[in-house]
Amino acid sequence: MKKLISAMAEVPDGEMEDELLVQVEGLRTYISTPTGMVRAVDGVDLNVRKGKVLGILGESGSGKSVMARSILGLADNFPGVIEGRILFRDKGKVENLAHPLEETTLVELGSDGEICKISKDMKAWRKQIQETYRGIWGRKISMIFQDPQKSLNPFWTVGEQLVETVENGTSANMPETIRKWQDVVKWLKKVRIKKADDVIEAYPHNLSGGMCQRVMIAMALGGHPSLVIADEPTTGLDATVQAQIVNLLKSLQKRYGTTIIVISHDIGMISRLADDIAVMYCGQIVEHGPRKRMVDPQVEQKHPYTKALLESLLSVNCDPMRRMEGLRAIEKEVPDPKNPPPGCRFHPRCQVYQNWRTQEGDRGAGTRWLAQCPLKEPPLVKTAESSGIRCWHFYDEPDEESSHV
Amino acid sequence: MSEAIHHDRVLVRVEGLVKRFPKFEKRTVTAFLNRKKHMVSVLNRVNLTIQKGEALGLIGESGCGKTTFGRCILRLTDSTEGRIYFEGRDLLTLKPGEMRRMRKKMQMIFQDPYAALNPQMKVREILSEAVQVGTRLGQPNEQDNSRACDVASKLLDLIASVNLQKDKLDQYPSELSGGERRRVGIARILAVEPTFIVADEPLASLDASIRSQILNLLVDLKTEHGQTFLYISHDIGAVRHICDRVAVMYLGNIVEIASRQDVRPERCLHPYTARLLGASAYLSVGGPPLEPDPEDDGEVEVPEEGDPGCSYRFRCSRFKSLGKPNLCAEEKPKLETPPTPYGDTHRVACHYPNDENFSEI
Repeated sequence: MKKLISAMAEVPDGEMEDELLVQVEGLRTYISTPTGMVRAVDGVDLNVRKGKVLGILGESGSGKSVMARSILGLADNFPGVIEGRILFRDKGKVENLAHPLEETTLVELGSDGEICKISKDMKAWRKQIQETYRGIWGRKISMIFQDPQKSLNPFWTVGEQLVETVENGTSANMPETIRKWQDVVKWLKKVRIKKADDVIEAYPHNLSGGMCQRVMIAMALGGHPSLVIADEPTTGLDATVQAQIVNLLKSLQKRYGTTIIVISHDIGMISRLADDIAVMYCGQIVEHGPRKRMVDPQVEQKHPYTKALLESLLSVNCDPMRRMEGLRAIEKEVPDPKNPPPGCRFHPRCQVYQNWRTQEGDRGAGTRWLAQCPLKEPPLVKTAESSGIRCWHFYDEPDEESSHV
Repeated sequence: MSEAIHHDRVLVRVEGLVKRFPKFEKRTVTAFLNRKKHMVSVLNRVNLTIQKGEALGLIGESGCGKTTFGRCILRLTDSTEGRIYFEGRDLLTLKPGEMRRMRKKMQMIFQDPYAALNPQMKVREILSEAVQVGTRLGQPNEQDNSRACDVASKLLDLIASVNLQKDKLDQYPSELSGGERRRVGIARILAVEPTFIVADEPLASLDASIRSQILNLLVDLKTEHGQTFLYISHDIGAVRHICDRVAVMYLGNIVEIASRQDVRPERCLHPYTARLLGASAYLSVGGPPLEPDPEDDGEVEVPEEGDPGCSYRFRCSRFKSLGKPNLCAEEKPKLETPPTPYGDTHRVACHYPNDENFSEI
């Protein structure tokens, strides 16, 4: 049985679609390795609100970086993106950035609905991606990469690299080169580099990690993009520098109204920066909601994984009671993304399920569907307060199977 | 340095430890011949005492010398000056053979769990090597034939003590996850039954959900086996969780030592500690807001070699708010107990420490 994955750019109906800048629907990105197919991103739906910061929280290997690269068209290892739509709204127009999939990808499904063969013309796909993204990279969507010192070109000075993106904005009657260099200095000052005139001549290895990250931020924001994807922008930096970078990103975001997707495993940093938070586990979004609700430990209706992450968190003002009890750790290891557990991917480590299994007689509220945990994947269910929870514990609409978000 | 500390309970005492590294700015013959003149001081006369069964935390920014300090104590890096007493013996005067026997008592958890294990050895080989080395150094006259089964049973004990499955013994490090590698590293250390462990960023490069497992393991080692720890980290939350006392290091100087309870934004005395704590609190869930200082871009300004003053004054907001007093630029502050009600275990190296509730960055 052969099936052509269709990816037509029709506008989905929603009550507040004008507010959305990016809509990701059913995105699947796989990576083929010698030992098996890694389902790095496995059916992600995501809405990014315009002018807001979306934080994506997840452990290493949960697929958060691959998802970001898919949005940017950079996931180009075979087979890469194989299914889904990435709708990008720009000046009233809606564009499906994943449309090259339509012509280049063929996914064969087995009788049980499992993907059994993927064929994709990578050469044609890369060419089409280049054409689709030509006007987008750097101008409409830009990225702050994980390792600032490795992401800058070691052979070029900081100024030479910045000139490429920072080109517009100053008066037109000055000679062009001077105008560009003035712009670069202006941007370096905006990212709070004191000795901008010295830094412009420096090579990346002359600068510290924090400085390089500031240069990266200037580079990402220099083209006035409408979306910036920041992949672990503070990893590897000291706590004091991290705080400054977060502050800087926040103030620049407010000033220019840029939409930012922040990817991190640091729940503290995300809670400081983001307006909405999506939690990823094993290539899926397990919970998505506004920040206040997600990081508040008092809120009970929360995915067990999010809850466990919050509980294993150490605060600076740790209370002595928790020190006595010991930390509540999440048992076992992160599952192998090549063969994730069947059913709900978190169920082997999930406290709610394990508790229910050990005391099966006790059938309290919300345990009705727990027998499904190892069997069937839970749908992302929209609740009153959050945009979605993927957990059988909070599933209570048996008749409306189609009410998935 | 320690009146309040019982001398019979002291395990490690470091006196005036100095470490200088040569600084090569130009790779020329002249630069090489003058290498003794161009030195960078990484540790500046560090004094520190660690008692038996205590966990001492060492926090500071990267590049402040915390890892060098840990390595110097174990003599993995040779110190330039100073004395390190371990159980009353000066380590720096020991001969290589004596030092090797001494190493059995002091071990290090290395920063990178991926680089610390030999990729060509199975976990069983890695651990049994450590067990054999440990027993040989401990009891030199033991018979060979009785040892083989001892090793096998000890391996099982070890692997169980770090909560690993038995089948992991026959895997290579590349087949293990980061958390499992970290456990193997800890099991290897426990194989020689050390009394003192230097843990250098043991939670770095681990996932959030694995961190708490490893931290619980370390806490168990401390409470149940009475291990002594030097816990080097820049994660203040973890340090406050496991440690009894915390030392704060800035550019090779210890600027503040206090008990765990006193390392809080409202009780710390040194402006640098306040700054570190403020930044960490800002980055934790539900933390207080942080006012950015537009003057400050987070760059460490290293004073010139031989500078007489306080090395933190270039970044110190208190130095600025007090109108740049001459004392800070002329005299290096000593680590001493200020007149505060917190007791004499709290020591700070600052001319103008804060004894009131303040928060600054």
